[in-house]
Amino acid sequence: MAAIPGNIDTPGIGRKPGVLAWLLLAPLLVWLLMFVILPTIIMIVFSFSERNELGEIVNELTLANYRRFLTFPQMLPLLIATGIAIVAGMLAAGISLAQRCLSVLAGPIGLIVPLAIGLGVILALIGIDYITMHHFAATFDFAKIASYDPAAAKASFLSDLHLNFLMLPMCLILGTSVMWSLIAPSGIELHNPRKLIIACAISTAAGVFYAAINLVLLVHQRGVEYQSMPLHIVATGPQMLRIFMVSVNYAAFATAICVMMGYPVAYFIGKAPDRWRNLLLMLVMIPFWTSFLVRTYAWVTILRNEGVLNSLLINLGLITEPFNLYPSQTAVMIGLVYTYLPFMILPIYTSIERLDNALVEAAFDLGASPLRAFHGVIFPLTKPGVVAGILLVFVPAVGMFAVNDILGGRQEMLIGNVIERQFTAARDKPFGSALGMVLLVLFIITYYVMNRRRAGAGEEN
Amino acid sequence: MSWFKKIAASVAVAACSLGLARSANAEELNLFAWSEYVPQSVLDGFTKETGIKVNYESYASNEEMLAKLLSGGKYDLIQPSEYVIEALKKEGKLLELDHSKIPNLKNLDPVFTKFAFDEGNKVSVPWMSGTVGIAYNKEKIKEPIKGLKDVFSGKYAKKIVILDDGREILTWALNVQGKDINKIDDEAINGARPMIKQWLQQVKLYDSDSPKTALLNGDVDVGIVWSGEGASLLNEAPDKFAWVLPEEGAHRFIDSLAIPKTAPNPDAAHKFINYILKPEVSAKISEEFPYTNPNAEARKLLDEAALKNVASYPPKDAKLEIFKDIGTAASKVDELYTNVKSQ
Repeated sequence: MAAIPGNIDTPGIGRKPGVLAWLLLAPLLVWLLMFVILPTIIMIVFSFSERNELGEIVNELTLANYRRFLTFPQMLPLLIATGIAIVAGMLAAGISLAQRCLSVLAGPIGLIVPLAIGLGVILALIGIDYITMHHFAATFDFAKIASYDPAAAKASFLSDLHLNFLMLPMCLILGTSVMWSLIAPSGIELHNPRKLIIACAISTAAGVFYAAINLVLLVHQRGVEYQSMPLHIVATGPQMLRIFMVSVNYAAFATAICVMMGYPVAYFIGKAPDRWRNLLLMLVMIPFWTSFLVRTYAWVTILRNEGVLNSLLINLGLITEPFNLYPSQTAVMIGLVYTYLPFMILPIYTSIERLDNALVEAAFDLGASPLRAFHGVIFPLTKPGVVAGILLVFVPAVGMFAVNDILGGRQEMLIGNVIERQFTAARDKPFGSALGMVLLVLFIITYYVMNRRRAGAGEEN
Repeated sequence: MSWFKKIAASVAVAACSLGLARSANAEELNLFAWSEYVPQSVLDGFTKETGIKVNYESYASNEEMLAKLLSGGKYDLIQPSEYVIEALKKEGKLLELDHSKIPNLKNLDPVFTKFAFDEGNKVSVPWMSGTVGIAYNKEKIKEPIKGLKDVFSGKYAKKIVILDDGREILTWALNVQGKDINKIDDEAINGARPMIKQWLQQVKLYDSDSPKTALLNGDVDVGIVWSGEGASLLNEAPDKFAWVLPEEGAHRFIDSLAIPKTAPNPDAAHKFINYILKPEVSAKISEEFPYTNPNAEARKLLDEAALKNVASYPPKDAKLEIFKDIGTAASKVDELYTNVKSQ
């Protein structure tokens, strides 16, 4: 079909919509009001409200709900860590900039530098922690409230030292993200300070985040081990951050597995002949036709000690003792991946279906290896689908509580469970709302940063 | 007449006829009660006798009920436990019962009319009562279990199911430490924390809804569960399971029917209360859900085996205590629970 030249008026352009057409807008407005604006307003109002003995909202303004996880004494180490992380971020940005100038990025140094930065951050954090513990614990209220025993503190500090290095992967991510944020929007422009600032901001945010978690872990650990701090402060304070971190870890793992499993599936479906494609797509969607709870409980039947999987393996003589899969973290992970996999497959499938085969052929004709073709042509062109899939999977997975309840035997609290409990067992809607608000704000920031990056990358292309 | 008017007219007609149909059999009772607690046969019997249709909605915890009720749910009859009755009564959320409409109150065992949370049944009428105790698999556990200390001795690590309820667990710890289970302050909570932490490391499963399932399936060997669940286990496999009340002391709960002040149809609610107090109806409830029946006349109708079930009817000298409302301290208990669970 011939394209319509742009300078000819096509019918429809310039026509004013009639009343009925405006009526079509009504559902949009209703949806916006009822599902987006009102719930958010209610959440904001609740999060600043008091409650009575029964847990009813009382119309009195308070900041106590936020203060429960944003109080000064525990935030102090966090603030120091933020400072360090900012410096580390700047440093990292500077190093990679210098590297870029020297054009040695592709070599092993590209790996070693982030590693070194990560290690540096960890060592700096250990230093801060040690100083905080020995210096500030004596000056601030910690010591007054509970007996502070320097010897025990030291012993506990040393015994927890190794925990710091659990943070290495995270700090690696930090280092790499610094590098990436600088380099990925290709063609470094030394004269463009805006780009440098964005890169620094991203790396700093990542640094603050991980530094915070590290400190939270340490503060938390210490508080419980020898009770040098008032336990309830630890319990209500940064603990929420720790739980949040665990939830993010679960969601991130599930998302990663979904990408790895979903991409090949989507590719296969997208490239399958027409008559198979619809059938395969339907198979992806069939699970949606049964209730989510039924499907999740079905996994209990499969994973139990005397369940389908274990009896099968035992009867085949492959194992003698059943795997303890239910309830476990593995089961939760299986449940999360199972629940969200279709949400990953569908957007990736859409972008693969649109992928122009001629470009792939061209890559091969120009002598690219399959790996190079994938990495240079196929993946970049389908990346929007992957990003959409990640958002669709990651965000709901962070707040998911039902899978954890059913398959995890309620052994571990995730942020979703904590919020859910505020509305039931704890009779504390305001606190639950405050937690919800924090999650919302974090997601908005993440989304903004991701979009910003994508927009930046788009500009460059 | 345009198509639009036609549709509008037919919608109006349909709405009117629906409204008429609704007002023809208007009497409805909105019952909001625990899951696994109200036999369908009892609801059917009530409808047959009075012509009142029962809408039964269920919940799994007192707090869930409270949240829904207080956010404006229209219920004629709720079924909270004693401490929630106490709290609701204090806040003036419950309708005073009209005893002249409930002649069958006389059937109650006098013990169940004298509890401090509602002396003389001013706002509530007991439905069933029960305890929280230990059920264990005799085939897997040879040495007898006497109390909570035995359960959490470390021998049965990862073989335990317990209720997913922070206050219950705190109560067990306070009982073991010999403290008052209704004095919940920072001192009590921090004192119990290490013990609870050590306990929870041994737990395999948390389940408040149907903990007996895991015991029956063999997923776990010992459980701290509601007495009704324990009694069911004893009924299903008397040779396999044993039931004990912890020697350190146990919590007794009394679930009662009460009418919220916001009830649209308090008359029907009174009728329902009177109906379930009939001995034969109450006995039917007991047969299906073997908790402790508060109805003295109904107990006479139960067979001997049911009355001998130690989980349903604990010995007279058992050390039982009931919960008092702890108000906003509930969120402290939840903090503790979140804290020990997420380590």
